[in-house]
Amino acid sequence: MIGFAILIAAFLGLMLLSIHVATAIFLVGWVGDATGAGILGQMGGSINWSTMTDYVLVAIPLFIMVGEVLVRSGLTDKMYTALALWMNRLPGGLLHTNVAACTLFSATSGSSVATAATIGTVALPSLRERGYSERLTVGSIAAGGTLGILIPPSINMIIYAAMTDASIGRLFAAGVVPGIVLALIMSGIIVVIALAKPSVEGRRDRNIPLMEKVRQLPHLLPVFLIFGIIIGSIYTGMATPTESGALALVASLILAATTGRLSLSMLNDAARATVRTTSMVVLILVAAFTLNFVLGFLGIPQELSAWVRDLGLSSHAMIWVIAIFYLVLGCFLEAVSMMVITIGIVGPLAVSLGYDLVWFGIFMTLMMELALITPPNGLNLYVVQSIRDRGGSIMDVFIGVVPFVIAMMLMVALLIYFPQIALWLPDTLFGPST
Amino acid sequence: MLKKTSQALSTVSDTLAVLSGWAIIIFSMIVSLEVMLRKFAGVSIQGLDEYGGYVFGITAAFGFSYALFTRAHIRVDIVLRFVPRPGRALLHLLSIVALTGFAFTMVHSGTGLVFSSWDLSARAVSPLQTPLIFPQGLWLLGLCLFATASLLLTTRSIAALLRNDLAEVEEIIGVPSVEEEAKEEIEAARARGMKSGIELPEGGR
Repeated sequence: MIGFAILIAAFLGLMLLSIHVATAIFLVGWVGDATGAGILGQMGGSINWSTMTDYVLVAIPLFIMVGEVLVRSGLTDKMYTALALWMNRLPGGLLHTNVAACTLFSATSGSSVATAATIGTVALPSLRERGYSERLTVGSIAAGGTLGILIPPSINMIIYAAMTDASIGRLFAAGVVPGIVLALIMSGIIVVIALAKPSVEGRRDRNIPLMEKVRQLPHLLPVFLIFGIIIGSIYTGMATPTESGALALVASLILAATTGRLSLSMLNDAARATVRTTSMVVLILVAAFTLNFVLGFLGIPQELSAWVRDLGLSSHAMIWVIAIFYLVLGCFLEAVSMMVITIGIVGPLAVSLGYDLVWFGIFMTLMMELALITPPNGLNLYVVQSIRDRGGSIMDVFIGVVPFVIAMMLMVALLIYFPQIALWLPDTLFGPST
Repeated sequence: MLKKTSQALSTVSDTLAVLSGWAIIIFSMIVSLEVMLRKFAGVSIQGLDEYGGYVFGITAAFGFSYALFTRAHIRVDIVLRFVPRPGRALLHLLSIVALTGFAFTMVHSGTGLVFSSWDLSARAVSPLQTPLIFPQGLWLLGLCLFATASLLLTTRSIAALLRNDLAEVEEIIGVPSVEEEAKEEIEAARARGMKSGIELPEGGR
């Protein structure tokens, strides 16, 4: 336990000094090695090499580029318009469109910044023009954007899988139902708020003829196509998760070609953005794998598990302790960093408490979603804030996101007491886990 | 002189990033072809996963310096935001010095790996038995580029700090605000004609 506490304190200290996250992780691993393990001198090179050539991780740039291509080709913008037509009769009107559009966009994108920035840019002016509550508008976009990492494909799940050896196929399948349930809870909260305080809702548009709505439906097809290719090819065993990313990328290029926006400069920009994000993530992963190797060698995960066992808490009580721990940590740390630093220790702990590794992956993903929207350090809050070209206090975003933080905590509770929400689909598709 | 070298290196990194991105696009096409062939013709191309790993490792290694020049490597700036400018500059310097140390450690351990692969004529444990020295050599080259770039930026920031040019330090190794980060995506979306939000079809308003 002392080892774990020192570890977390060292990270927070180094990160508050604003050292690069990757360097901070590596430094802690390196100091741990120097004081006890002494293996990095011999093994360092091969740990880095095998991390960076792990075929599982090859899926990361593929899925990042799928999102880049779809956004840059304008397919996402059209999707929002089509959805808006169908959603604006519900109490809360276009606020639901934000959640629904984020949900659908998540099905093709593994990035929450891209999701929030894209949907936000389209949505904010429309909702403002119609007089919707600014706070709820920005809150729903910031929170909806986090669905990107829960609904497959998900870069965060690929990283989780690489670090814990959980199956990507099962993780992807396990994220689907919780993703939909969470979106529904968010929408439910919007309905409740809109009924309790009708002033949050803006001017309704007149009902649009059904024919017009139907005519817009094909704009939703690209999303379902990409999602279908990914899940379908993994489910039928036709492709591995990495190969499904390759298929999805080729499909998104073909779809982009049909919009007439596919050009050399567009692809070059997508290439730059993909490499930039991928390399940023990989540097953190190289450091994290090094750290985990050292920690495993020093026996820290076993030490923590033994300490927790001696506490004699029930596994439900313990998972709540872990949830609170991540909730607090997530206020200060960026989501991926938070996962890669802790997973080598907390993962084995969860398994020793009797939790399924795939289930814990979904739990972990929810905690990362919370980390993205909990102030003061919640990336999505600032992304949405930066879209508000008329300015306004960041406090609007902090307040607007509160109902959705509650929604996510509700989802965490549901997941803990009804684990089948996550496990039913993977068990049904791939058979029970062994 | 320093600035010119670093600009040249930044241009090289940019070109390599675009090439790396294209390598990923081409790789995805070959893999898709292979999946189709395997499914419908029962033919399989050997070793795509192995080479996919190499492509990924090498592109990521070369991408490190591109991410460095575009200030993409993540730093947590909750405290930094409240530190006055001279203090900020020192923290920026501390972070780039530490990153340079990390980069050189990777080069050091990578060199050890490449030398032992050379000595042992190591081959991949795969049907293709690729001599590991080739992919590992390219990978090490990417790491060397990253270490060189970090060292260059460290030197430049020290020089700027000695001139008391805090703005320059900020520009070289500062933390881009989320505003800057999201600006690109937002501008791109606006350029696609989304200025006025959703355009509901006629009869919609």
